[in-house]
Amino acid sequence: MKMLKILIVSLFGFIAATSSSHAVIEIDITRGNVQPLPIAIPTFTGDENAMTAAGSLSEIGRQIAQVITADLERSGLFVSIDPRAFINSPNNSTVPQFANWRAVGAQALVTGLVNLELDGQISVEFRLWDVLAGSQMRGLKWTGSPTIWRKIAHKTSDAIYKRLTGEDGYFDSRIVYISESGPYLERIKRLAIMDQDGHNHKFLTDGSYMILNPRFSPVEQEITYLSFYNDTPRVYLFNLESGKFEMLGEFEGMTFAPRFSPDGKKVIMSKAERGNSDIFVMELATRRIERLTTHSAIDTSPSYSPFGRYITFNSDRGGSQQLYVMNADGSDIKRISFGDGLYATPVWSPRGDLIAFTKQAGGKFYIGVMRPDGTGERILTESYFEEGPTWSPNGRVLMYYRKYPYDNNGGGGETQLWSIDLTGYNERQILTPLDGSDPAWSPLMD
Amino acid sequence: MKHSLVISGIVHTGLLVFAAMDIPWFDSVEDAEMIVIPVEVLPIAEETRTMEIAELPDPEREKPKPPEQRPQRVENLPPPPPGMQSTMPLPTQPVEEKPAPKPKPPVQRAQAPTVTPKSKPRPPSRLDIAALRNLVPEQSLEERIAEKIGPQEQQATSLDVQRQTMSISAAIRKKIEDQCWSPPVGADTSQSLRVTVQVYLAPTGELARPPVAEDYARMNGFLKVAADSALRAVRMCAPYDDINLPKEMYDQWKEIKMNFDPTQMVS
Repeated sequence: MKMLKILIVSLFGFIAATSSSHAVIEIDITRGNVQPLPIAIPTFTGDENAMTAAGSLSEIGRQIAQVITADLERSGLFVSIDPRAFINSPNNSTVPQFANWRAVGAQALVTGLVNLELDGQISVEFRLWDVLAGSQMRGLKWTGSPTIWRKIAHKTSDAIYKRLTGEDGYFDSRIVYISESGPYLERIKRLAIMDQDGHNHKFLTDGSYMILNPRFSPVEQEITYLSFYNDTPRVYLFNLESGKFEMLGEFEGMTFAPRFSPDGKKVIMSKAERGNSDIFVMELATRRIERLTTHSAIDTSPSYSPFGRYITFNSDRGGSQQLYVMNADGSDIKRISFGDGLYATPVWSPRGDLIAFTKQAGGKFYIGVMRPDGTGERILTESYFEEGPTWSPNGRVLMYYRKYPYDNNGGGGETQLWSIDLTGYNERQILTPLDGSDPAWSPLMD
Repeated sequence: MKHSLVISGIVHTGLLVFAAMDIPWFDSVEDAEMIVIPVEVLPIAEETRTMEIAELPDPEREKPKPPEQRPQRVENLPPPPPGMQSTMPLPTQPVEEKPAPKPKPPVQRAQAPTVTPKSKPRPPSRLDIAALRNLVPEQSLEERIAEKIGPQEQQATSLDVQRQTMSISAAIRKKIEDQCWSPPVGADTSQSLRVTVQVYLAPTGELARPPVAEDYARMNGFLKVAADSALRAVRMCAPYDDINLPKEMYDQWKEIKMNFDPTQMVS
């Protein structure tokens, strides 16, 4: 009996002793300083004597590293280390000397190599390294024509961005927009397209008729827009790969503000008849058109939610221009904007969590976002005049255009494309050869 | 009869208490499993990713487009074997210094500030070294008091130990939050991004071995990115020798569990 007591007591004693010696400090970390990640992107190595249609391999390697650096820096989430600080230049087929990269403050490192294949194509491989852990995070190899090195660079940026942020990138994407030139009363408006960084710029129309509201298909390299061809505003489709234009039906009245459904099979738009405008949807395969709203007020700027279940639009049915959300069949219309001022051009984020809009209040224009139920309104940017937000394919960045006031001497009135991160920081101008307005971002390319 | 009732009572109570307590060796069994599982899962994850990537742009896509428009082939590159050298002899890179416990970190610290200003505009440093230093005297005061009290009292009541571990926790937390952790921004907040990292410290305050994020091998997407940011923070902040870590309490701080939760930061 006594033995048993001793045994039990000593057992408890033992438990108590071991548990105290095993006590592990536990710390909750809930705050931090959000800082861009320092990343080193040395020139991709390549043979300087191996020539291709796009220059020597070493020249291609140098340019690829520059494009990746520019892509990542423009996102605002990365800061590149000045190559002049590099202690040595790495070789993609060996493990880098991480101590040298830690010494220059890099936390991530990208190494790459450009090779010439037997068939005249180039192969580009890259590795993304975690400098602090001394391990490879990602490694990929692409093969293609030497002339598409820029595309390969954007794809590499996308892969790095995805591994380091958890989110798809948006660098291998394009922008269509309206290129503007000429004096105020005789403005020439042409449809133009470029890569998201402004390169590979091309005009798609000659400016002999006005073009407005270009919008990208979420699934195809196809755009829809409003054209005043023959002085009648009509919605057109333009396939970028085949170069074919087609008009979306001949209707009584005017059609405008077209936008694709998420599956690219329908186009939703406004149609005005006798001074009243309502929302219609057209099935592209059958060209069947269906009316979604019937109201004496002006309903316009419709945009689908990412899965096509809801539509947001703006309407002045409540007395002033505000944002509304309804089911895709036109039922259950709810107002979602209740702030001061007028709200217009709602666009549903491809992530589905937010609706971007243009707001006009107190003599100024604003671009902002709110949740689809109308809560959490946040203004991202303001100026004399700005509107027409379009989402990057990953829903992290908004592009829009800004217009400057005319001055007394007949000058001013320039339009420019700008982008801003969802956090409201990192606002940047996108340079275009002429003035630019009404941008539309493409989905990620193949 | 009476005796057996008493014995039965004691044994049952003992068992109940035994089950209700946080029994240390159960933890360690779990820990051991945790360490084993990731090692087994890791290669599978790599392969899965390979497949996924390999499927991306296929050369023979049906499109009637000139093939140069798209990169034609993608393949996943495995890490080069350590010491792998291409045909050219590379004197500088024969062996990777993976087990790099060398006192390199001080060198980094000395150089980093001189180099960073040269690089592109970086937001003004928010390293609040002064604030951190403030903590140190506070702690060394404690140490001095402890010295004065003499060796007998130094056995430390559990309350003392608790107080000291709390101040160690606070100092480490402050260092990581102020200087080292850049939480992932813009992440999808609909899922939990809380990550637990086991940190193993050497008596010198350096990392005794690499920090481990629980369940890392099974993570992907935003959670994996959150874990990466936490691991980076732990490594960036090492060595922890600027925090007063009392040697006699090494057992208390040699293993630290850090829970990183960016939820308040990301939105």
